[in-house]
Amino acid sequence: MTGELARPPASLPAMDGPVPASAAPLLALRARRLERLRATVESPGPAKPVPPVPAFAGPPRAWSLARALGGRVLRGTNGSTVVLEATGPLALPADRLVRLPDPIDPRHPLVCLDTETTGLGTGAGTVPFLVGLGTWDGESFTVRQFVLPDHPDEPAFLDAVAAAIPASGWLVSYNGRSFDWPLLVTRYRLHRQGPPAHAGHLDLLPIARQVWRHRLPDARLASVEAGVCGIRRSDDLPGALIPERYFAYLRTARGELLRDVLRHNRQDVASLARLLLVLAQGLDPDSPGRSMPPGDLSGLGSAYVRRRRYDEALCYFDGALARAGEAPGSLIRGVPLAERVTVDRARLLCRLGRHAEASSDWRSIAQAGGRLAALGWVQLAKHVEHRERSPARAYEMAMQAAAVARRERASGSPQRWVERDLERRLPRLRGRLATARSDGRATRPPRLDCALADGGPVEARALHDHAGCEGRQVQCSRIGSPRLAPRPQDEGGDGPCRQEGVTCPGPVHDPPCWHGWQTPHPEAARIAPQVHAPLLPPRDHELLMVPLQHEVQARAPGAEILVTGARQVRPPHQG
Amino acid sequence: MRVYAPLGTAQALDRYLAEPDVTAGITARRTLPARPPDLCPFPEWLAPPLRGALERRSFRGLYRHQVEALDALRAGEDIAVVTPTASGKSLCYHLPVLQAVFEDPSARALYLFPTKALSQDQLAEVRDLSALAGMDLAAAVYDGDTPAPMRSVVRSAGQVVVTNPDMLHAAILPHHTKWFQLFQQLRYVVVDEAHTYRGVFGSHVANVLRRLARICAHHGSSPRIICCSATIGNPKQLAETLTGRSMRVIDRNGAPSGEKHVVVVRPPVIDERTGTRAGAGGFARRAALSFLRAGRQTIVFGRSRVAVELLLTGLREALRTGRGPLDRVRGYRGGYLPGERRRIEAGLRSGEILGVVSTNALELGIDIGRLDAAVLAGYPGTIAGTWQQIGRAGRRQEVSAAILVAGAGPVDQYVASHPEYLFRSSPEEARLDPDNLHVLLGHLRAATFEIPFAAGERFGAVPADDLLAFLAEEGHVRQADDGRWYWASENFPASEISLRVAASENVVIIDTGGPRPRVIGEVDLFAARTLVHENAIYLHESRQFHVDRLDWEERKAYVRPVDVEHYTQAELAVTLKPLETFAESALAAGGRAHGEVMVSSLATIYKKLRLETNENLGWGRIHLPEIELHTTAYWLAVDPAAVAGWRRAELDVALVGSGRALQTVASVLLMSDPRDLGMVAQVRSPHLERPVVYLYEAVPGGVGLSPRLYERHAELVRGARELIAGCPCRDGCPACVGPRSETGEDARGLARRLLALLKVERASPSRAA
Ligand SMILES: [Zn+2]
Repeated sequence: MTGELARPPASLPAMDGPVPASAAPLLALRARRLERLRATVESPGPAKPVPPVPAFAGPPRAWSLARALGGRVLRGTNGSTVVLEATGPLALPADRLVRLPDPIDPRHPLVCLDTETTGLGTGAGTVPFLVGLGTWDGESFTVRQFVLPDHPDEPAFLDAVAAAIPASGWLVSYNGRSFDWPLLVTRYRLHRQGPPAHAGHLDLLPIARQVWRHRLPDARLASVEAGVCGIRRSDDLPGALIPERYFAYLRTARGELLRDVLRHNRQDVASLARLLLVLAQGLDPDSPGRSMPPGDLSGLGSAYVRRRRYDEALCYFDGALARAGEAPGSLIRGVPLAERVTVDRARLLCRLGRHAEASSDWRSIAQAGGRLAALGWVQLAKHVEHRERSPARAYEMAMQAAAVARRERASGSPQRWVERDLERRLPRLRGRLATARSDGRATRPPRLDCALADGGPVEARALHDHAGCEGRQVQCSRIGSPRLAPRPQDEGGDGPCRQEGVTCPGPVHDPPCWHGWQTPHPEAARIAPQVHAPLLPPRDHELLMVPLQHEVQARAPGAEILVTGARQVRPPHQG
Repeated sequence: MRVYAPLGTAQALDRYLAEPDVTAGITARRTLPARPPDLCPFPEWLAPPLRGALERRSFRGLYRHQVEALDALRAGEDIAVVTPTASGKSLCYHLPVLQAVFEDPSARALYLFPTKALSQDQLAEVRDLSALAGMDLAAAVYDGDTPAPMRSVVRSAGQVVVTNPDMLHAAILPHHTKWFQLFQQLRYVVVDEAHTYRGVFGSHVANVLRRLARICAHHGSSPRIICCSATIGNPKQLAETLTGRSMRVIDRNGAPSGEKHVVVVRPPVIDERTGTRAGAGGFARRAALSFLRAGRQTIVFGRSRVAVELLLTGLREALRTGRGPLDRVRGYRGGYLPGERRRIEAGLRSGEILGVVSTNALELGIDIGRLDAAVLAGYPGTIAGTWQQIGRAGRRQEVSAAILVAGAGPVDQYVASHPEYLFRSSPEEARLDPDNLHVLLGHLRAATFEIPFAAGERFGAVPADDLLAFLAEEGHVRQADDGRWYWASENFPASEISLRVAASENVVIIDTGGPRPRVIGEVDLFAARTLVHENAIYLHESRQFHVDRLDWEERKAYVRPVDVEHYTQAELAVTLKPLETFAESALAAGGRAHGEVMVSSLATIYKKLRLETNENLGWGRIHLPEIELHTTAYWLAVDPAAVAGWRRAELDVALVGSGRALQTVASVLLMSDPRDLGMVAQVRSPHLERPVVYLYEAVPGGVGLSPRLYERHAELVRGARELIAGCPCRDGCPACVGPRSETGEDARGLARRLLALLKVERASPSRAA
């Protein structure tokens, strides 16, 4: 043994130069290393000798595959493709599809496209080995399937597919905009070609998600087909098994392994056609949506909103509302249909500048007290504050929203959007109210914690004593049912305290505590629902906002409230 | 109360060096004379707007190395630029790239940087330059932080795409068809900080570049490659191994520099018996204080975050009692957000900040302006890294100073006693092995995924069919009737490769300290047992992490950040069996060899050792399974006759002691982490039936260190003997032959005697370096 092997080549040759003389020992060493590596692999298979480049043997795969599948061979300059065709009647009033949220120009021929691939990635190593194209000729629908007989046939396969897609064609796919088509483009690029030209591409996945998903377990094509067209596939090959089928076919050259894949793909292409038909029927210009359930109408309305086609959207929302009774108990994203549609409609009305109508929708949502009531209150608060210029009423409504939000949180479905909104809205509104009230009068912050402590067996500690703050947060531990009452305070001082009479918005409780009690100030209402609500699941600590203009006193005997800490709160005008 | 008067840098240096214990510790003091610029006129073919941009920056010409680089590229050569920090290296690639874009707006360039910070810095630089030239350059960073909408724009229209090897490997190459505009028109590939691509990482990056070259060829481009490297012993070989091309080295630095004083200080021995030395931190702090009090801008480098915090606290404390420029000393860590970094950099440029204490975050070419003094608290691990840190000090006109304070570890001590390595010729070589089988097979999978292999097609220097046949046995690759090899699997092979580890099966390290768990790294199984066993202190980007739990079955280590003053060191019980000898030759009374070995090792215990002093603070057990590792090794066998009179215990101590010293020297010669090389001493090897010391690579398959150790044997043994001879300890210490032996043998003497037997003496048939 010499040192030859160990020596790094002085200068490595370029990859396209002649193979250097030192390659032989390097390859020999590599062979020994590979042998050792084989030995360490857990279930060592027999070390097969390196197969020589296999010579052309037997009939080309394309012929045997075509025989096994009942297709024909399309010979190209650079390999072969197997093609299968199936035709059936399927009348599609395609001109109605111009009314889709993403319209199809009816002058273009539709091409339904679905591929089967060797994987889910879109990297350069994933191969679409089967392309199904569905086209109409009058009222007959033809599915043409192109199968890749072997890796080397890909150039011919891609040529065949390109030839079958007319440049004026309008592709229709399911998730094809992000998967099938980019993957095909990748293959053309790999073979240094441009992808086939086409006029447009309608992806039905987003439509399915918007229109049908609400009544389906998932948005897979087969589920949509089953739920919408009522067609259930039997013996369908699950998509996850398809790549392995193809690899097995490549290993064994047994074309019959692909039969199930072909059927699966043919069904997928046919599904695209049927879904188009369902949509076209729904888009009947005489009575739009008559054939669709109200939930689908609401989804279609939302799809139009997204495309900024508001008139159509409103029309479908109204249709859905009018027929909401047909689908009792129907939920859309967890909310009863009518409530959801009313919200969507109110939002749309806002966008259209029809605020009066919108606010009446919001009011009905809020007063109905459903799951979206908090949203209704917030929107009303916005409306009242900005359009009716009444911060006080806006504040009242925001407080209502807060009460509902708390209720929803307590029942385990917190509405984070509303909560976040209120975290800013409430202090801001309080600030506006305070500014409106104070009118230059110096605020005189009373010692809240002392007042609390004097009032009863309550402990209070302020973490900060910061003059100029509007309020503090006091951390409370509730022990039992609290009985708090505000003490009408400082009569001579802060007069405006009584300006707004607010009803405690909390749910009805027994025993009554704050309920039905008129607070002299919105702040009290702010405190009220938090401190009481004994029916809520107990929490150890709760943050209370206690205004400095007010004092709160624990009246009930026994230590029912323990104020364990207080924290400075930023004055609202600082945001 | 002290009064501070501004002093010159040289005076501040003298004041520090005049302190008696410092004076005694100086092992080298050199003055590098001021150098005028070696300025050449702008090449006449340079586009007028570019020339204008340079003139607007008050350039009167280009430095010699810049012109050489431009000319070589113009002549179609690939180049490796090897010039010091702040020599205007980046113009060697920005200018040709902008020139190419000027001549043909469809031209593209790809920049590779090892870190995100560098990417951002160089992006800003090339944008500035193009803006100054009035060019409308589409340049962007493409990495994990690039927002999705930006990505497709960068893909289709980015003229300069700035990224890192990991991103190129996992996100760009496997999707090359989406980048076809880039790969059709790629003119330049820039590989900056090439010296960081060594070891496992380098072996991976070399393969990523092989894949890149294949893809460019497929899409019809053949870009020139521009490598830039810090000064190392083998820049040409590194660049050629990395890129697979022959490279023209450009190393005649034409940038000017002011006079610079470089001093190496070794803190004195404080315990004669054990040879323990004072820590580097205290000496470094005093040096920094001397400069700061003189009003000189100073940067202090610590080796870990803890070291940085200690230095920072110490400096501030000292400056407080002395009423110094307290607020003007800042810490600077790798983990800082870009905004924070920029503020510190701006503060340094404006002079508002006087001192910075940094981990190695600043080492990789980030522009913080040029300072008066650099203080290195401990050897940064490589000579190239040392010069990069020293290079932070150095103004064009004025005198600057740099002080390296050696730490207590053996490598620090070895370098401190061999200052010629620092000043004359760097002995260190960056090594990588693109043909490491594990690494190579992984990238071959990825390459097949990207583009099928033609029969006989080469990957690297030789055809890859043998490897592809091996992969075909696994079933992920198949050879079709046309003889080509195709990817035939659902897997995405690039995702199975981490560029930081050699093997495919790794332990993932998860930081649980943040708001949500975060993966911070991976280590291979072999290393995991010594690096992330429970209670280990794991270092990541100069941060310490405590390993709370190692889930061996799930291959996950859960860690959280800590700041502690100790590190952990695990011990392995190792058995080693040679599998194949690649080369061997005789020595004075023994032989050397290198080849392939199988290492079985069991992690037994770990020790807690204090940083700086290596004082033992305790130990614990490790309960993990035994692991086998196929790797390469270099070994030294002793003629039994030559040690016939030695007691077994003596022989053992001598073998271990020599092995430790050889390990230390090897890590200096080959720029490797001391952990990259394991050592096994066998008093009587069951295979060779004689005493043997093995140095094995702790990476599956090795990364090319052992053949080089074999070749540099003479240097290695000489270095080990000098290391032992130069140590001030009485009979062995951690800085030379390792901790004192329990049996009280004279480890130093025995190891020296043994190493004498291993000199090259007889005429040897093989080629020694
Ligand atoms: Zn020693």
